[in-house]
Amino acid sequence: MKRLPLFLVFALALLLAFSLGAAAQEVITIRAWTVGPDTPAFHRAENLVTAGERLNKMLEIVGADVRVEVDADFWTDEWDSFRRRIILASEEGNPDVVPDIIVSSHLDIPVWAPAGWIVSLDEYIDQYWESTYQDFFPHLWGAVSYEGKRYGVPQDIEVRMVFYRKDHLRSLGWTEDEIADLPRRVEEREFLLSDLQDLAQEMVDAGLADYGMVHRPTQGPDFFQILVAYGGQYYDPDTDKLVIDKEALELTLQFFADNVERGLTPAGMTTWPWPAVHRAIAEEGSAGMQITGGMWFWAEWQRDLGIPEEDLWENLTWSLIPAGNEKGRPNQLGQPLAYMLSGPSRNKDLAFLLITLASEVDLNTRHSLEAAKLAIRRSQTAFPLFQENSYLAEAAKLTPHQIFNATHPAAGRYLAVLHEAIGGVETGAITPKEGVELIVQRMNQAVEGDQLIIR
Amino acid sequence: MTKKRGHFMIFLLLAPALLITLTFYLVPGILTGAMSFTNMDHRLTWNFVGFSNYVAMFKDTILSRVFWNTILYVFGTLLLFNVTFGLLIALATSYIAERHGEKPSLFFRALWLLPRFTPPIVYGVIWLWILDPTRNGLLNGVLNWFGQKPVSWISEFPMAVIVLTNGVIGASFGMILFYSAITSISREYNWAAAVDGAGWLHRIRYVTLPLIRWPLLFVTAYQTLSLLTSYEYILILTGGGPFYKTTVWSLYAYNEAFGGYYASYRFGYATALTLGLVIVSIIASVIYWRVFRFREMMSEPKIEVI
Repeated sequence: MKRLPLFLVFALALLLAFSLGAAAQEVITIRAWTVGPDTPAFHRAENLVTAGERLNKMLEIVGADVRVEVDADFWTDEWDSFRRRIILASEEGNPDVVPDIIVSSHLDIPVWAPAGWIVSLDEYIDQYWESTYQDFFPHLWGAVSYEGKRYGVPQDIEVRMVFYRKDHLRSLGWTEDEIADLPRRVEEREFLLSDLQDLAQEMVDAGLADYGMVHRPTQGPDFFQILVAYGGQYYDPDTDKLVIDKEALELTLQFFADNVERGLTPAGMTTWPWPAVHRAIAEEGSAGMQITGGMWFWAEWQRDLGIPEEDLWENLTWSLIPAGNEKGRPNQLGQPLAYMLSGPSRNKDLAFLLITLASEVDLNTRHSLEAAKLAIRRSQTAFPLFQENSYLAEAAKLTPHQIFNATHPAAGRYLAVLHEAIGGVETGAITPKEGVELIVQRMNQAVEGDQLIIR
Repeated sequence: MTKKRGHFMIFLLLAPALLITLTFYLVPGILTGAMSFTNMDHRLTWNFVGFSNYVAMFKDTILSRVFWNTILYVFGTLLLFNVTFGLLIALATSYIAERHGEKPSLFFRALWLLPRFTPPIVYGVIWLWILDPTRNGLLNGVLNWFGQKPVSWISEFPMAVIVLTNGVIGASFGMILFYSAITSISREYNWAAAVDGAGWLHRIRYVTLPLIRWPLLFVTAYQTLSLLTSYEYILILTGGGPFYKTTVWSLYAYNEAFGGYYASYRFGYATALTLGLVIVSIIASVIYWRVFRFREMMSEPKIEVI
């Protein structure tokens, strides 16, 4: 074969380079790590991807030579593995490893912010305040703040509740009106924790359920609801210290110990796998009630267990956690999830723009509907799709009684040791009094003495 | 000159192994040791606090519970499964091989190796289904047929569950070693014993067992050390619960560092705990070395047998 003259090769190469150069667009990749672990919450990742598509369209229209590619990952394993992944990546601090955007619990903010892994968003939020963020429910900003600065953009919020099997209530002779009136009685303190126990007892004695009352098996912030129901306090916002309220803690532990003693809760409740709990309450009715339930279960039961929504309406109702005594109050805990910007991110401005676009009313609403979560923006409640969903509207009625976790670096430790003590009293390994001592000891190990109020 | 070259060759040949040991064992070991004198948390700051982590170990009321769990778990699994059950399978499959040929024996040994081939998570999930506390579990499904109420297997028999689940995997290690040791015993011994009127049981007791003494001791020692540091199946199945009933020392250290809904990140205390485990392992090794006379096993045989 005859060789091409050298100048021709040159000319061709030059032409090729020019034509490529004209079409060259800068593509910036924004990486996000998001978490369920409940599978219906996949829009936490999807909304960012859609935001990227919308942004690219705008860029195309205005003829900009830059495009964004969103690489969003959705974690459905457990919380601890999700956090471990972030912790290990953040400790390394390599911007090629650490994602630009993290979606996680607001509880991580007091731990991650002082470590420098996430940055304050005050300046960014103010940039888009008029167009977007002024529309957010104001109380949510408090939950994503630490030491006076906002480190997160609320992504969603939920209510947690007690679920009751309506079919069992009917079998016990409750009329439909009585069932419908139950949430009000709880709210107005006519129905207390002791009544809840008695009701569970009736269900077990009548042979309707194997267990009258199950609860979440794993650690979680939900157990503080019982403490508040007994008039306890776990955080003092004035001094920003965690509170070990011995009396209320003992009442809380006694509640769980009694439930096992009376055969209402299995002794090994803390070793149950999650699916067993879901099936027991939603599918089989082998559990009569579930305390520490969450509104997003509604979506999980439909998506993961394949139960039609009509069946759920037919068989289940819910209420706040009833008050335990005169000092306590009926309540429910919310744990907002939030978008955060990682410290090492090289594209913070662009990443935050994506967060803002992903917080559009329609996108947040599709997340609310799919994952059974509440609205975070005022406009959402007027959005037709949102208004048509009766479950969200009904569940939202519990919102006025919402409590939040402490925004304190050791809040996670506190809920872990409380869960530990509950497991201890349920298995009979320790008494409620010993459980309180254990909590004091474990908290003292992890928290500087002056950071705790023990009383 | 040649001597020098010889030394160089020795160094060259040992270098890869040395490098790996240095990088992946010695350096992390020293770092771990140093870390145990700090109160390091998720921020990874080296803030030295002297012996306070070790003092805290003595004040930790959970630790004695964890200690006894570890003893029960290690020796329970070892004696019931890794040695005894492994030996039983080896004896049975070698007997099958002798009577019915190699193929059926291979089939049964392969069957017992299955749990070891199965990824830990899959293995754990299978057990979680078998032991599920509701009627959807295998065991409770069977109970349900007989009209019985479901049993919370894990919470009612926590230690039995972790010993059983680890043992089913652990038995295959002993099985392989014992089987090859048994089949390598020269047949003349058994023939001679049979001629003298020894039955199957007597041949096991007086011929097989004494001749596989070294593999037996090796499996005991090796598996003790590996069980001391293993916790992954416990983590998957029970997470150490209910209330520390299945928390062994290594899992306790892991949970203090990384475990839970909110990882504790108590790296300082966790590393102090693991260092305690290293000391226990060293003591166990020395005891085994002395009691089982491993030096004798490693030395060359004094008389050539056959």
